[in-house]
Amino acid sequence: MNVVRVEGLTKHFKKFHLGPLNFKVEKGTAVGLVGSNGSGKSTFFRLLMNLVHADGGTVEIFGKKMPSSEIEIKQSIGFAANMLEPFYQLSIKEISSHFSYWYPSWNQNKYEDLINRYKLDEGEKFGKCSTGMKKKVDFIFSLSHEPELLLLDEPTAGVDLGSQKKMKEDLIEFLEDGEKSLIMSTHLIDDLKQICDNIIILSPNGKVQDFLRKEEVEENWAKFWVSELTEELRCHPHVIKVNDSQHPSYLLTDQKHVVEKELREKGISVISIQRLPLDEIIEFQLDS
Amino acid sequence: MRQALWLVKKELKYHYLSLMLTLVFIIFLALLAFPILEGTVLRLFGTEHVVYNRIMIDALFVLLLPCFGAIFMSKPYLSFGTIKEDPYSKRMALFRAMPIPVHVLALSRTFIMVITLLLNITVFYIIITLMLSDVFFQYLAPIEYVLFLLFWFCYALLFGGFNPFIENGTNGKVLHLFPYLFIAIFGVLLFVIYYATGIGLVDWSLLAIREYGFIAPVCAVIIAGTGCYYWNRLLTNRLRTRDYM
Amino acid sequence: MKLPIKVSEESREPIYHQIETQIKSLIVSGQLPTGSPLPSIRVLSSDLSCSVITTRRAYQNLETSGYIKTVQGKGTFVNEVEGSRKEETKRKVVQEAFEKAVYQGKQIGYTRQELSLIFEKSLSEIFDREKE
Repeated sequence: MNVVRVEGLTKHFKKFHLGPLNFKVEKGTAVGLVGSNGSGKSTFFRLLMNLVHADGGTVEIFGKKMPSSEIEIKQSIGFAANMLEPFYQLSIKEISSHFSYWYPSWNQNKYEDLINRYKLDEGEKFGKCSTGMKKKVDFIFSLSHEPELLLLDEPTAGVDLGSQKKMKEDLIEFLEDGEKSLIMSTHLIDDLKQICDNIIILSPNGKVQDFLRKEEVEENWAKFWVSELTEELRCHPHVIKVNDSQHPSYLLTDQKHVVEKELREKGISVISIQRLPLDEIIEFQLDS
Repeated sequence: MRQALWLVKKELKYHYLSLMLTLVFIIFLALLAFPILEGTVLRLFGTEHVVYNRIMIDALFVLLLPCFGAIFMSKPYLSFGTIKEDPYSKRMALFRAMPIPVHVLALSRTFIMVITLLLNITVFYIIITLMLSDVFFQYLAPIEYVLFLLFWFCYALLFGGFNPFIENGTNGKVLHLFPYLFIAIFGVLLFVIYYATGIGLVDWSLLAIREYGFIAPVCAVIIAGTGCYYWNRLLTNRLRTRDYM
Repeated sequence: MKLPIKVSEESREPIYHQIETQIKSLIVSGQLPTGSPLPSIRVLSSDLSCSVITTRRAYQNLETSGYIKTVQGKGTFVNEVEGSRKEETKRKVVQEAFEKAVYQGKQIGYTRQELSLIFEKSLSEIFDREKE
């Protein structure tokens, strides 16, 4: 079942075009959103939340159409995107009164546990909190009403290492029963490696560069260190990058088994095969 | 409705201090206004020759009354940082990110405006009424005075009712530019009226009440009510369709 | 809970197989006694930075071959493994490790005799060191 279904979503600004975006998020999965600054990650979330209105395309969440079932959908979404600033003069406790009022599924115990877990002082005014603390507050409010879907815009940015680890644990726990889903943007490779199942890469011009499934990456992407590189290999559709400026040379492929067979048939000896770390793939995708 | 009032209560609580400051400023305005109003009436209906400035009274009523619908002694109004930071839009974005129906949000804005206006104008009227001399009421019957106040309350409601839209439906730039635009338009309008008829708008309202009695304020109530309804509709639509960046 | 498992980027061996083998050897060596809980699929995937599908496959294989069992709503636990199976698995784990080393040696270009000598040398180095 798909929790989020986006089809042909586009948004035009004076200087920037986002989309068309097409993708699905399966129930129980975590999707990481990566892209350079200005590639439209925040706009992407705001489009999903109907805070920015698309010029074209459709958004379906929980099988419901976005603008028409807006309130129902939003009640089951935990959204953290640094938007609490207008509450700067309120204490965390006072902000919680807003959340508990508007979200029917608000869980006060969970909220209090999280406040303690992240060692926050409920009486502290939001405006007086540091960047990292604000992030934590945002994170806590996104989780405390037990949403079905979390949309987190760079939740770990600017957060201390200890709390980052706790956030990861909380997200893993959130995903544990396979009923809930997550979309998060991040610049941290560890978030992608340790939390996400799939990765959407946004290109600098606001398009989906790639949709990576982690298991496919593990299975199919590889770096072959080889004794020689033939012209044929260079042009092979599944060889996406070669480096022969050094010896031994290597090639990157997104179809390990195809290329392995090819190499064997050509009699080219393989010195070593490595799985490609995620960061290298993302780096490559963002460059191309 | 209940949800909208909940929001109103919360927000007025947070803006308590700004609201108090606004009231203090309004008391000051009232002290400034009462002698001018007295002068207007004495000149219009009395025989005494009083030094009186038509522009002052019109400026006070026409330009300032609509402001009474806003908590104008607050940071967004006083600071030019608003132009860049756009705090009202950010606040709306936050509320829109929560599961709050748009009509509830728009209604709460309209309620806040009406409550602020009622509070401000009541204080303004009470101060003026207390300060006005007995001579004033010899020329203007108490009932006429009440109708006069009602008429201008409606005026404030009609134009002040636009304020929630400016605050929450546009951006910080418009919020700071709009008053100047308003002043410019009404400045021109007042000038044209003086030139054409030789009387000011406040003069005219007093004469209309004397002439038509209840009819003038009743019309005003109807127009102001309808205006508020449509302003609210406009705001609802705007909050639904605008992009919160 | 954490398991002392590592997946290697270098290996030709699929990740699910690496996980499977390592958990098996933890079980047969007694480091994970019968009844001890295993981390959930999500948690282990996160620890190993691998996909949930890969970990699930490893767990499924382990469950099919009877090393672990999943109790609905409670988690995954180490199963009772019979003595004979245990011995067999132990042998298999070690043999696989040797095979890997032999394969590597062969690739470098050693002959069978040469590898045998190296093996003898490794044996004496490790066992003699322990004696001292």
